[in-house]
Amino acid sequence: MKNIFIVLFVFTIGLYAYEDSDMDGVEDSIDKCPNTLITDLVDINGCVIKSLVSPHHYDFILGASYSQVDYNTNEKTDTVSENVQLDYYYKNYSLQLATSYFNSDSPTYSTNGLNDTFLAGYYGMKPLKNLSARVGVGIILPTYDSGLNNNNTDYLVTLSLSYTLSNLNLFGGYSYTFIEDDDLDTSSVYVKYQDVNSYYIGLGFYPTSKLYLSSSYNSSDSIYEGVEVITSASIYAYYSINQHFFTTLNYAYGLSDSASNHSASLRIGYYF
Amino acid sequence: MKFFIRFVFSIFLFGYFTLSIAEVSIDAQIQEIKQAPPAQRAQLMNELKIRLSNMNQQDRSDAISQMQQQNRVHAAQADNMKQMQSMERRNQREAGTQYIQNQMGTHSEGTTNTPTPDSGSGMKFMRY
Repeated sequence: MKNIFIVLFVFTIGLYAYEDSDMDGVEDSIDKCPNTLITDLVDINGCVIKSLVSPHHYDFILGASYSQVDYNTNEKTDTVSENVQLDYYYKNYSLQLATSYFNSDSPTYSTNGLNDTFLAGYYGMKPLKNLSARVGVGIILPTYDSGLNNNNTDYLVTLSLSYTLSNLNLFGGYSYTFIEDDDLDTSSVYVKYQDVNSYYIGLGFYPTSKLYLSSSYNSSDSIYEGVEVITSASIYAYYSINQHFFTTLNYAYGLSDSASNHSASLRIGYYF
Repeated sequence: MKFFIRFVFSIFLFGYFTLSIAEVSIDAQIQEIKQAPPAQRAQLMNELKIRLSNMNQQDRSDAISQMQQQNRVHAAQADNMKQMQSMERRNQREAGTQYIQNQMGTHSEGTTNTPTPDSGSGMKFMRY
């Protein structure tokens, strides 16, 4: 109902009150801040003095994921992970902390522990009416114990784009990760690590206002030089349970031998 | 004067739509805005916005939530991709560790896996 009100309100402004196009009570010719939001309170110059909407938001996301790998040099391995993610949003900025704990099992080998921890900052923007973008920089803390004592802090820059037209959404993303792990060069083994280019592209749509479905193609370099690119195809669902809770479901099928055969994740988040 | 007439008309329409939705009369407040000098209109509009924002908290929250949802969907989707990449990277690290330790003749905790010997040089453990 409120959406109707907003649409009609904006429509009314456009037709009959263009001299005060942001409807803040200050005529456009003397309005020093001409595009204030309806949720903003303004001073006599038309500039924001307070917003009725808090600029601070948070979310807390818990999840579980499963992957099955069957590399030719190792036994088939099943891995289950429990994930946690915290986000803090301030206006267009956000900070993120994410990590996970894994249990990995194959017929003759099992291990568990903390995965690397991800800390990042993002800035979201809308360069065009239907286009939203998010850029970010992050560090990957070496909380994963590789057993080789060569895992170091990695660095990452990322960009994601989303173009929405009616119920359809075209999206994509790119990230570049600076892998800082120490190379191994001994008489018995030579391993060289490399920086990682990753990208994805996909198409999504909103069957209802609360549900979003998408499919995508994903590609990422291996951290190991000489290992083929990891490629997969995935489907994804986002469901807004209510104003605060949301859940996501993802399944990916490995297209390259270097990818997991199958992987899936389920997450539930609380936004406030 | 032209501005004032349009402004007043828009306020009337604004009042009409608001009344029809929220069933709360704001006639008095609109009259006040109409009669106020320009220097006070911003303040009166601020008061009207506050009142409107409190008229139906749930509808307002829903509207804001709707506007924010696409941003959340976008962010959550990107985060999901990042998580997938992180998982693939960990899987490769684990496989690489097993392979390297086997090549070096040492093993980490847990029981021993038996990676297939690599016939070539370098890290080719995932190539057929």
